[in-house]
Amino acid sequence: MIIRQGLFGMLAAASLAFAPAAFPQSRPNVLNWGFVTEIETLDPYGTAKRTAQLVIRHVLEHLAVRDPVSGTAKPALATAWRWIDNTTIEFTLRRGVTFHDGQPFDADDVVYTVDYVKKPENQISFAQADYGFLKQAVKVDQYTVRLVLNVITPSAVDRLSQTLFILPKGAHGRMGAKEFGTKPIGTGPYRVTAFEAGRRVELARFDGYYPADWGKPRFDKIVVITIPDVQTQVAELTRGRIDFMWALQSDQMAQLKRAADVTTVTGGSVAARFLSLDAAGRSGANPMKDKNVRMAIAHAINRDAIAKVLVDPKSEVINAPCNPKQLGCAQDVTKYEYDVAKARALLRASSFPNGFELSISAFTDNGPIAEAVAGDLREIGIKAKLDFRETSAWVKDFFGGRMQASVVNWPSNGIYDVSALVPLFFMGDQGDYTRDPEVIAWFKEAGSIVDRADRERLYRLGFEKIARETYVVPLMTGVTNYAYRGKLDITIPADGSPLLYMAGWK
Amino acid sequence: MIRYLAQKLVEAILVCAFVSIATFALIHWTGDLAMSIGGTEASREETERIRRFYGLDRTLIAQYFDWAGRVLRGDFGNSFFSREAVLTMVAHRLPNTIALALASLTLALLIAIPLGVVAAVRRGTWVDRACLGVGVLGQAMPSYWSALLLILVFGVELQLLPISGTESWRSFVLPTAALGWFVMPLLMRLTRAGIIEALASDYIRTARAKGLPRRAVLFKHALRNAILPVVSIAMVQLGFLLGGSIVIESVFALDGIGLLAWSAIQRSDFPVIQAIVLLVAFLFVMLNFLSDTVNGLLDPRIRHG
Repeated sequence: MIIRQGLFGMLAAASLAFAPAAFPQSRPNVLNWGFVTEIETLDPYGTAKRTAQLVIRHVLEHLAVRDPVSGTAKPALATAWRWIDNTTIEFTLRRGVTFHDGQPFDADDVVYTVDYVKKPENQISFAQADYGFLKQAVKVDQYTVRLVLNVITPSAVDRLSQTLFILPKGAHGRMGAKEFGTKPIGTGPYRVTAFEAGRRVELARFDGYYPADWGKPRFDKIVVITIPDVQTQVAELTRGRIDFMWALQSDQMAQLKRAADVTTVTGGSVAARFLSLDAAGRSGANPMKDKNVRMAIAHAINRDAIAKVLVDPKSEVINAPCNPKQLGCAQDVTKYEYDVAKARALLRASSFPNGFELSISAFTDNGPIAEAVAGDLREIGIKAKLDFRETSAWVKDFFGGRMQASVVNWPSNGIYDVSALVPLFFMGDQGDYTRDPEVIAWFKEAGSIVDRADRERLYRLGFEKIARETYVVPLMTGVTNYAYRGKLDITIPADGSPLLYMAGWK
Repeated sequence: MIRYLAQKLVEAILVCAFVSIATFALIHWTGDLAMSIGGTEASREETERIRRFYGLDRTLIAQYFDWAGRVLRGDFGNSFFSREAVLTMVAHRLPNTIALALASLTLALLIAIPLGVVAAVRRGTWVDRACLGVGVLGQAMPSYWSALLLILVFGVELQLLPISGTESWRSFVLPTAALGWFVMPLLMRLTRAGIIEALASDYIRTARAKGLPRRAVLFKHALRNAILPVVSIAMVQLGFLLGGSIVIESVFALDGIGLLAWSAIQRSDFPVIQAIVLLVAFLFVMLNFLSDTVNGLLDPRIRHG
């Protein structure tokens, strides 16, 4: 796949430089959205694919919506909210909202949705963790509802801007999940007019949409076209068959910069990438248990060069394994500068002075990063090689505790709080290769209180220890690359999740 | 003959059973369906709950026989992800793959046979070398490379043909060319070798001695005999093509069996993978069975051997 992309890059670079002028845009007010992901269902609780959920967000809505620039939760189906106690939030619902089938929206729909996702018999098994923090919804009156949380969740409102699509009690109950997945009914700015699983979704503007804070939907139609091969998508963008695509690699961005009538923009992301090391020895006795080895690895990796060349010039090197945008992501912790001599000295002082063999596993676009890391490690005498896996194979072995070293890229489900990341990697669960009781205790406490200063203090303690002990090697932040045609008026989101319903043609 | 057919049928059933067992084992060794369903953010408890819910905590043997029992009753189950019936998913995509496979094979044969005949008749000349050069180029060039070249030339530069989707017959032109180009060389070389061998045989010498026109000798006598192995290999190639070309279907966003298999493999959606593998194995075995049967009918030494 990597070779194929490289070959295409060479061809495309030569080709696009001499490409004919792009098709003139005889523009009906339609946006054609190029999509890599195959969308098999539009049931928001039937897919774990975050990208598929981006399309579903045009049709079904959350109680809150995240402002694409500030990242704060803004009113959507709820106009206001307040904390009643540490585990109860009261939402005032928007009046005058109707579903696409004309039925009015009220507290019963919220209660129905929460009941639905909490019932195991409904097979809401996809990304079940998204809803683990919710206990139940209690109707106060027709337009007031209280959400009761299982545990104190300071990031609850932010999470509710990313999860909990509100279902129509009547229609969903009648249709069932399978039929709803092909003809979903929501309150969103667009309604589904055609759906071919895995291939195409057609959305038309919902004229009954309420006046949202961000405005009214501006496209008459949005057509989501699945093209699994990104390079083919690039070609379709230059031809004008699609108008918008995102999540491009830096080499693809370089190709598209030469194309006529195509705008390329690099935006932010909540993702953080780090090199996981098996410090706890979960995969058996291994060199990663030796702190000198871990420190040698940290000093041997030229993170700045890898970030700028392989990710994007806007990608930043991080010192803690989280995204600086996230609450609690302390970056003023022990740092490991790129110093090959120091790395060699640390390796000589370790129990493995003559080096050792190391497989660095990776999946998807982490492959080139892992390859570069392996190259740096070979410079100091560690015989490192890339162990590239398909996603399912990587997931099985990584979360099964069988990987000595692995490049991990974690999007945190777009949550601006480290509580979306640390439970997976540093609190004793399946992805934790650290197993440090102190770190676990600090993070556990930080996740169970609401005082922001206290939470930040506890997270800092944890990340400082992770850095001091070199449990992982933090690498860099992620970026999200976008390319689009013509005069698309879009706000590039800080979290990497484009909401096209807020966009329009200039 | 009946005994021969029965023997081949038993072999076919055994091959299908073996392939399904091997696939089942490989899927379970390389991926964890419970983790795929739960998502990477699911906790250990949640993953275990999913494992129990779908019966994935049982032994592999129990799971296999459960699946095989349902398949024998015609129930291939539902995708764990889309919840759609697997047979519906496969049936929906199969026409695209069949259309692509037949078109590619036809294109390959239409090019390979004339080129092979010309190369054999002009053996040792620059024409022969040129034909062989075309064959080597086709074999050496990976299909994704030729696919990308076609996209850039006919899609991006000339903007003559669509490069993705399955909206009309025009969408199949470039994938057919890419796949046909990949299949053609083997058939061309076989044709050439067969004609050369036939032209050197006694019956051709006899035909020539009888004063038959050159064209009749070549096409009525030599080609008829030389074409038999080409037809057999074309059957095998058709089996491969019906298995779905993952790369070509992915590059051209052609919604066929290959693309479906690829996405199912990526997330260990084993009901879908199993159904596709079983279908492809069945088609493959049937095509071989057909080929063996025809050969058996034509050549008594095979059926009595």
